Amino acid sequence: MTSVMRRLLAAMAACALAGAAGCASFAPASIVVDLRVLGIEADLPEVVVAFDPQHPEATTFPTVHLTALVADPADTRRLAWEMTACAPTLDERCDDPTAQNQAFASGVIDDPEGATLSEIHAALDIQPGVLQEAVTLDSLAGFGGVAVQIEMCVRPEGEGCDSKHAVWAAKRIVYASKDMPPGRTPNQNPSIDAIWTQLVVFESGRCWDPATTPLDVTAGADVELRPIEPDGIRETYQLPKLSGGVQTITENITYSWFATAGSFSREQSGGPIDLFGNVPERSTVWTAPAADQLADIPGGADDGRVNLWVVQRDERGGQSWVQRCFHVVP
Amino acid sequence: MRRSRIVVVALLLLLLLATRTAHAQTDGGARRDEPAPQDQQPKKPQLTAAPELLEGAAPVYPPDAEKAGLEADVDLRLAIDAQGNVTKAEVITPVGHGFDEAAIDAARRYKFKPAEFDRKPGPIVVETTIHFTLTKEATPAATQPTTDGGAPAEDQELRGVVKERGTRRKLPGVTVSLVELGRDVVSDADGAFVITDIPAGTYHVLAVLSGFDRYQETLTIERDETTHVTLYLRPKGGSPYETTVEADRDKLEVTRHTIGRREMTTVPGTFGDPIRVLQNLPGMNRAPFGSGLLLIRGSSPNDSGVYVDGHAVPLLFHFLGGPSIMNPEFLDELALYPGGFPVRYGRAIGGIVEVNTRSTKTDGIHGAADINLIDTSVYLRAPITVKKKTWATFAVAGRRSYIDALLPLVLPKSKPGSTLVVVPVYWDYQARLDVKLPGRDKLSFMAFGSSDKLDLLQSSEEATYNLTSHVGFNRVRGTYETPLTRKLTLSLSGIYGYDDVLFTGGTATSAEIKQDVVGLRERVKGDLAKRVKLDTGLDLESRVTHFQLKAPLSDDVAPAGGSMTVDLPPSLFQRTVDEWGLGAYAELAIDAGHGVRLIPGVRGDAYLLAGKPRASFDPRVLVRWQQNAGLAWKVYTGLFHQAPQAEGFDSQFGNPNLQLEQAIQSGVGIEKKLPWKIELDAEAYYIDRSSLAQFTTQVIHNPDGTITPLFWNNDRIGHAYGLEVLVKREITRNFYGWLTYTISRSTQRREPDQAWEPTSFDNTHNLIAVASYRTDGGWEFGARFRLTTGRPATPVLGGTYDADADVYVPVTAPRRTGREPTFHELDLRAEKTFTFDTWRLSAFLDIINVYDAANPEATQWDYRYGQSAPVRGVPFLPTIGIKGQW
Repeated sequence: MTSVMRRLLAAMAACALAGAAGCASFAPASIVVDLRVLGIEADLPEVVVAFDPQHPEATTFPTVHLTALVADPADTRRLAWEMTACAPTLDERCDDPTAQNQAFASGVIDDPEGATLSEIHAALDIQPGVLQEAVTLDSLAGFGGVAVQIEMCVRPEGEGCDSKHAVWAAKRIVYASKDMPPGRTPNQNPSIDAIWTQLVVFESGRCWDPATTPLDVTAGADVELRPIEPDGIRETYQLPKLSGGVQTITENITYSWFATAGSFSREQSGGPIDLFGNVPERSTVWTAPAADQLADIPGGADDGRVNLWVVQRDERGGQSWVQRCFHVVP
Repeated sequence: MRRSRIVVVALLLLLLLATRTAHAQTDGGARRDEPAPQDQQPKKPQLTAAPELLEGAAPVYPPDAEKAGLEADVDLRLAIDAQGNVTKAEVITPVGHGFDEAAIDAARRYKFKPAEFDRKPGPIVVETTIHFTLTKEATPAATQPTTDGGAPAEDQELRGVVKERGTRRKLPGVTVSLVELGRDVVSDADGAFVITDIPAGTYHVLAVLSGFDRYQETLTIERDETTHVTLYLRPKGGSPYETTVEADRDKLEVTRHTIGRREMTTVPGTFGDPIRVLQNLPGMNRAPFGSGLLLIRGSSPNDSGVYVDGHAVPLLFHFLGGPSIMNPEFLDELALYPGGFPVRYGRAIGGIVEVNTRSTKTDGIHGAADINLIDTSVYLRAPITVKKKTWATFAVAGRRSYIDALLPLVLPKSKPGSTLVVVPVYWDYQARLDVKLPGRDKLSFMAFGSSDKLDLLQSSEEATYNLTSHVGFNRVRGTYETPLTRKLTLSLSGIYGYDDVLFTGGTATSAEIKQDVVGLRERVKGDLAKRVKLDTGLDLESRVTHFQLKAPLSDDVAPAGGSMTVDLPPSLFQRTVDEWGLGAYAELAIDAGHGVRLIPGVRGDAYLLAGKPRASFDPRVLVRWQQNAGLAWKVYTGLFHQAPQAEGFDSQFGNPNLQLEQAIQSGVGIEKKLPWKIELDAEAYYIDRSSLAQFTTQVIHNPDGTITPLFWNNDRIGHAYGLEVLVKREITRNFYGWLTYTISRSTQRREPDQAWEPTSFDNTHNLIAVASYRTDGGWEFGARFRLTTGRPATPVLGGTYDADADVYVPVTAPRRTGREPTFHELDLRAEKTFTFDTWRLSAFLDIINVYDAANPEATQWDYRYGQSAPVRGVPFLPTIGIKGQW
């Protein structure tokens, strides 16, 4: 009780002090100005195979195909990348030399803003040793599924992952074991039917695709963006209870919004009911950059083109995304 | 023509009743007035009789000074031994011209009836003043009317009472003189005096008391009348601090730092709050953001106990770095035991803060009001008298903040369609009743409590964020004390308390914790034999904690793969956790001769935690060797136990098999008196902590395939060691100050396979300097400087984008292998006291962080851990306030 009282008082003080002192001003995560990984999609996002966590070598696992969404608007350059699988770690890196690290894919892609595809593709056939180590390090010993961590390093071609220009991303893939409830179906990646702006479908593609017709927006104007979902996108699934039995849960879907300029009223929308009981809005409002900021849009697109990414996620590792293009008119 | 008539008012004696000492506060106990609550602590040695002058000696007026027409007041400090002899006389502030030598020469020839403590003669150090005054022969002022027959009628009386200016406190021992008649009397215990057989006329009245400005006034005595007067003596410096008496006292602890009345309210940077002064003592780590956390020798705040009149309380401070929950007027003394505390305290493995309230006085109606920028407090005390008989006294106090009223003036205005409301409110109250009983019996009651509330409401058309938090507690205590024998005293004390913690976040999240607390203490203390003292008792505490939690949590769902977040609908959890503790302790203090004192003690505690029993047995021993009057050595070791926090052993969300936490504390130290009234107190310590409770992700795999989460375990261990040095200048009327330096290391290991790391608040170096000077004109100026190693921090090396959660996770160096920047801060304080006849008014300016050092307390990162900015500590912060006392 005493500790709770002291902790709450400290939290109250910190809350008030933070309000009084203000926060440092950093660039928002939703505005992409340099090399970033914005999402990693796995197909399958979850591998449900009735395997023995203690003996994964006795099972053949399906190949998992990975796609990473990469943006690098500030520069025109090729990017080198590599992916490694390992047991989950706190900092989501596979850099423990004593651990089972499976470097399973690497390559080079063209400039993501200039290429036909701004994505990285890889395939993973998991090694039993990685799964076994993941089970060993899991306090639940694989109960409810064994998570494998996928680490990805992306950097300009010619530089190593220790370069200051390198960026790191990670994703987890669950290999569901024999402990999973009977009838449990594998998770599926969600999808987006369309993006609406007010009552108009926003159908354009990538800004750097010559076939794209961007949406014209006046500088400084607000544009409401609403993702349109297909029916039944929120899957119902079961998790085993520690004490036995199962619990049925329905997914929540969240949307992350990214653009190369402007600002969002919400960087993330959708998702579960928040701690205050608010039902979250699925839409966001993008405010176009002012006319005098058009020259600052990264990528040298001085014609006022702004790229938009919307990344959709369920809470089980499923992801998908769409890309759109604005044309900001002074 | 002026004829010298030397009036040397050296009427010291009875002045001594109100002598000030040259003693200070943090001496580890070189005081005879060892602080103690009336109900639980060892009874203070009380000054039962002031020294009385049996044989005086007239000072010789320095001839040159007399020729030059010089006058002077010489302040002296006299050491009087248990036989009443002046063993040492020294001038406090030399005035020259031969006055100093003349005063010392006279004082050394005084012979006193010795002072008595608890009716036993004892040594004492007092201060007094010898006044050298030149006056003209009686002619100037005294015009003596005559009777009808021409002869003065000498049957008039002068009756009066002498009071302290500003407080109306009645002053005994004041020498009142009618100069022209050469008649002196001394005020009695009620400050009253009578001079009889006075011829009618006009006289100079002179009143003198050490520590006060000399009072002089012209007074006319009318024929056939009794003249009544009230003389108000102004304390030197305008604001008297309480009498303390220096002498040897029984030392029953090794390390016990106390704070005297004067230091309670004048240390810069503490806003005049006494309990905040504790944080400037050796053994205390610096609390971040100016918070009131008690961080003792690197331990967790939960490891240290706070006791008010012997009973544990959950909090000492309001939030926002606010004031303590107790009005300063209620405080008798504050003490900090950074380690090795006595067996009468248990259920803590860190240190102890002891807050003792004082009994209310019977000296009439008095009050105080303190107004500053964020809150106002008021205090009132009065006797309860029926048919001219005072049967009880009471005191009440209350405080409330008004930040809630001021904040809207500085907050930015809300956008149209949105609302922002911030309502921080705190308040506290205290009330005490002391019932007068016959003999030495004592009975008192006290109620006190506090409340902190912070409401945040931010709403717009889309969402409402409503955050409500409240922390409050209330206590009611009753204490009865009676002598068992002539040398043994029994005290019985009971307390009931109710604590409440509430947190709500809109409709989806809430947590409420209520706790009923019952405590009983019984204590017998006194002399068993000539060389043996006893302190023994029982200590019962019961806490019943009710938890009600509404949150999107589950203790039974396995997250997918043990890693991913699962969003669950809010669930309601209700729990009740019972906690009982019964302790018995006994301690002996044995004088083994040659200055050696052995203090062995033992404490046993039985616990019933959520229905499961635990037990602890804590032997402790202390040896103190007073090698000579100026040098003492000390060594101690002991075992300490405490129960984990209630949430830790709850059967659903905790581990019902959680064991008691343990510490072994050992230390060795020295106390040395140095020249210039400087005292040195140094101590080296080592603490071994084990079986410490912590949250864990460990689980138990059951044979049937199910899994039981442990939630908590006792795997954490730790140790701390350090050297604390306190150099303190003895307190005088005008000055006090101290310098403390600690070098220490406090580390822990969370699991056997993990590395050792510093504890959260480990400070390698901690230097604090405090000084305050008071002028005789009512000004007081103070400064505090702190220089402290930054807290442990975990360096961030970069970030990894978690593509499943759309957040970056930090990539760090090993935990707590870095430090926040060094903390340094200068605080200043100026206070002016205006003293009127019946009340006092003080105005202060307290400036925290004078040169606006940034003092980063934490680091704020951008979303991808690429850029950082320091979260600075308390900035340049001036505050003003006024305080009235009557």
